[in-house]
Amino acid sequence: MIDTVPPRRHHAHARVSLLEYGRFQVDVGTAEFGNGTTTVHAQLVATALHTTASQVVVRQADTDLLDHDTGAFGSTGTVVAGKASLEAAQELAHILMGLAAGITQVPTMRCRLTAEGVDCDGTFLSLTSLFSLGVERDIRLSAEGSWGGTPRSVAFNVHGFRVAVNLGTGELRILQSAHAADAGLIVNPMQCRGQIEGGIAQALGAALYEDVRIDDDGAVSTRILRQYHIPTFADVPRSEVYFASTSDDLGPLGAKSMSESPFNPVAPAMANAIKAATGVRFTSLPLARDTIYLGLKAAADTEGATRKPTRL
Amino acid sequence: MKININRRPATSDPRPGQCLRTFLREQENLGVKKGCDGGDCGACTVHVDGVPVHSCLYPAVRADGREVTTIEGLADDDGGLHSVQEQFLAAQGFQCGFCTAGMIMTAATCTEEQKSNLPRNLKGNLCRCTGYRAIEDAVCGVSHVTSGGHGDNVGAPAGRGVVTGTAAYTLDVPADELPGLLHLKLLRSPHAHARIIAIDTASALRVPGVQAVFTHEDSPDKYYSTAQHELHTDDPDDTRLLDDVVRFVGQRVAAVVADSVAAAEAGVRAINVEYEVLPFVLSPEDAMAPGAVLLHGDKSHASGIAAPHRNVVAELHSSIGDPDGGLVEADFVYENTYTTQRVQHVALETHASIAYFEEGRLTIRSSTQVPFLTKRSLCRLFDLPPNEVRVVAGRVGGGFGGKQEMLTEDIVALAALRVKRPVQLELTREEQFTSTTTRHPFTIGVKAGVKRDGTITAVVLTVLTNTGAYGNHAPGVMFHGCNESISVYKCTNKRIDAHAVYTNTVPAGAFRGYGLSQMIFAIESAIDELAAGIGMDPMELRRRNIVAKGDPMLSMHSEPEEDVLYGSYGLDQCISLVQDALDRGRSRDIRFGAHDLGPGWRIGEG
Ligand code: FES
Ligand code: FES
Repeated sequence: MIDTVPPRRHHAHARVSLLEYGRFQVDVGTAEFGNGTTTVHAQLVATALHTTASQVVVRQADTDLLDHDTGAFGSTGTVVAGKASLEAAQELAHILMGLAAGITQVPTMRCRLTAEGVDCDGTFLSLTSLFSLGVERDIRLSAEGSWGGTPRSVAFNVHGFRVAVNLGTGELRILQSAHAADAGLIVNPMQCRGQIEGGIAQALGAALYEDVRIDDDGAVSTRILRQYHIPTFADVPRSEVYFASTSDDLGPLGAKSMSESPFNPVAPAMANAIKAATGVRFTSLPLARDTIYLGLKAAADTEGATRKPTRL
Repeated sequence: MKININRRPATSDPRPGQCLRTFLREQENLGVKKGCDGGDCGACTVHVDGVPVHSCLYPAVRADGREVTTIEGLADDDGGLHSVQEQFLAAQGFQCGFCTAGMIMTAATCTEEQKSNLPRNLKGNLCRCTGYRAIEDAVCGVSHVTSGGHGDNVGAPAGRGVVTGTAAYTLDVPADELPGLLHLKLLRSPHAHARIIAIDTASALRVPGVQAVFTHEDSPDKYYSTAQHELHTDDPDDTRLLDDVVRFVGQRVAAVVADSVAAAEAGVRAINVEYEVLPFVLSPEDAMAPGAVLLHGDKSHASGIAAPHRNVVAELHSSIGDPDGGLVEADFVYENTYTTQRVQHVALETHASIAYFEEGRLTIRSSTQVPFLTKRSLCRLFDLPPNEVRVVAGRVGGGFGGKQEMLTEDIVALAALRVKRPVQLELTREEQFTSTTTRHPFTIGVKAGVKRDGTITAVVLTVLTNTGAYGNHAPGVMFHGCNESISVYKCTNKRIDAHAVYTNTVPAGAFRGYGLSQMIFAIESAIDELAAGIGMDPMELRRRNIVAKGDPMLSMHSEPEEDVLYGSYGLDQCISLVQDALDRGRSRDIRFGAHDLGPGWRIGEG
């Protein structure tokens, strides 16, 4: 389980504007580093403005664009920043409908925003013409949104492994890897799955072999990638990824965060699977092959004394 | 010399000893990336006469008379995409995309036969973001991207830029946009703990090309934290830009700014430092022992350090309900100590930033997750008004929390403000390991009790986290780790005693999971042991004890946090989904006879 936003406030600002040729621009503070939030912003804004994500241009991660943004950490790209851009887009939709309604003298209730423009009970005003009208009348067709990161929700992840361990050599084989995530209503399933798979791979490295070693003088002795092995293509099993069907009351359009949390259940699931296979409880990470080998050997030497927890 | 790059002759010759990677980048092929400069990661892969090579290892002179192809020239000149580029777009075979150019270059040379053995044929290309499934789909031509809005698999807007090598990461700025660019290199401490008595920079300044050398005497006399949070008071102010005391091997001692990277490196080698070597402490247990050498004993409580005289940067002591009573009441008590190690983020793009001036205003282009907070920190550090600093991030080549720190921006800002020219710092992979941040190693004592009916009656935790030489993120990681890891269990008898402790080692910082992965390893291992102790299925024990929607989520306080709500609840579903998947997998294995791997093999699930 993980709170969807870090405590003690997390601010995001966003601005959504109509551009000359009927496209939209969203300015957000968060950086794109593979978390996929750029796409999520485009999708959320597109949904609020009844258009497609391809019509939305995202500008980001520049302190000149907006007043402030706490940044992309604590899995906040979607839930906090997304909420700000969604709010800005909803507000802009409102402004556009108001402008169109004013011009056509049709009550706003009977106006409808579409991907091309506003349909005012049969009279159609395209986004391009709305843009010109805005310029003419000096109306800013742009809106801002912000969110302070509270209240927060909770997201969940569960991981399961079936493994085989060779009692003689300590060799480990992952036979099955399955992960379930509760990320609310998912904005982009492909990306969300990517975040989860990436988190599992990184967590497997940490569970099984990654270890920054320090020598007796305090210096890091794993100084290059050849000494610090990270998972390669061959090292990562394919994981089955499942999503719970939930919709979050607090997140943008029902979504929750999903980038840090897939990492967390992997190591214990692995340790528990190894225990189930061998009867030996490993209490130190990483569960490297030599560790497993030595642990099994020690357990065999003490004839199972360590295998059985004291039972009452 | 005649080197053809993407069907056009290079505009200059490489320097003696230059590798092909830097030569290609100087020739404006910025799609050629660096992940290691050691032949390990493949981000720099290009073709020489159609054969993929790691350009960071390939001497540029060897390309004489040959045709070099980079990601920018992979497709024909007609503006279309190579089929493998199309496939990476269609499958979205990337996240940050920093590995993508290299992946595509390797994959583009794969024969059908090689494609059937990708574990072998892609072994020279590392990706830290995707877990490789998306890359496999891309190479094999599986397509996922659709258009649309909410709920659809919309492709990343930057996708085309990523697969063509034109997406601009931090250092992908054409040379003509930064006239007079200088390069910064750092002299780093060889000692785990030492006081700097004297630094002689004279011979460094005589190295041709060296423009300036900065030491602690040039550093603002201010303490701050490299960690970046909305409230800067969340982290202790224990770090100086350049300090006269070094507290870990690899800490910055001095900075050399020069016309080229090579000149800056030569300058670093020419600096002479006289150190007074101090005793050091490497483990948190030793650091807390009475009489241990103090890392930040000179600082007061006002620095935000909980107990500078005990090497404790943050501590937590909480008890809710009746943990001792709960243990007495239990039918089975499990107790053990768990430890977790240091882990590095290994974002494929190393930390890097460029400081330059735009109409006189200091601008920092950085590989950061937090441009706005970094701007604020720089303003505080250099006493600059907000309108005189701008921070921008290009596309960032992976973060994982490692870039929620200010590790390069402060020093390039100092240098640029002093020499009034653009200054760039790019960390090497080795510096990433020795001098940035890691995950916090935890030692976790767990004692927990359970009744025969499967009710968990108490959880008692003793936690020791090793924050290394500086306390960036130490309080946050400790508190966060101890929170959701146990608030997910209904049991109301919980006690936590936790300390985050300084040692003379590379600092730990923010890392995906932020303390939770360490704690969850211990807690969930213990839950399985509790289940074993009463002979119950571990998942069943979890089901009986996890919070249900509406239950208070409690860890250190007897009242739940006011602003954490169940916006939705899907934990029960997640458990069932994984259990069902394992059930299906097990019967599949039995059906295909894959459950028997031969003598010596034992199978287990968890
Ligand atoms: S292999 Fe060349 S940069 Fe990593
Ligand atoms: S997408 Fe491969 S390293 Fe980021």
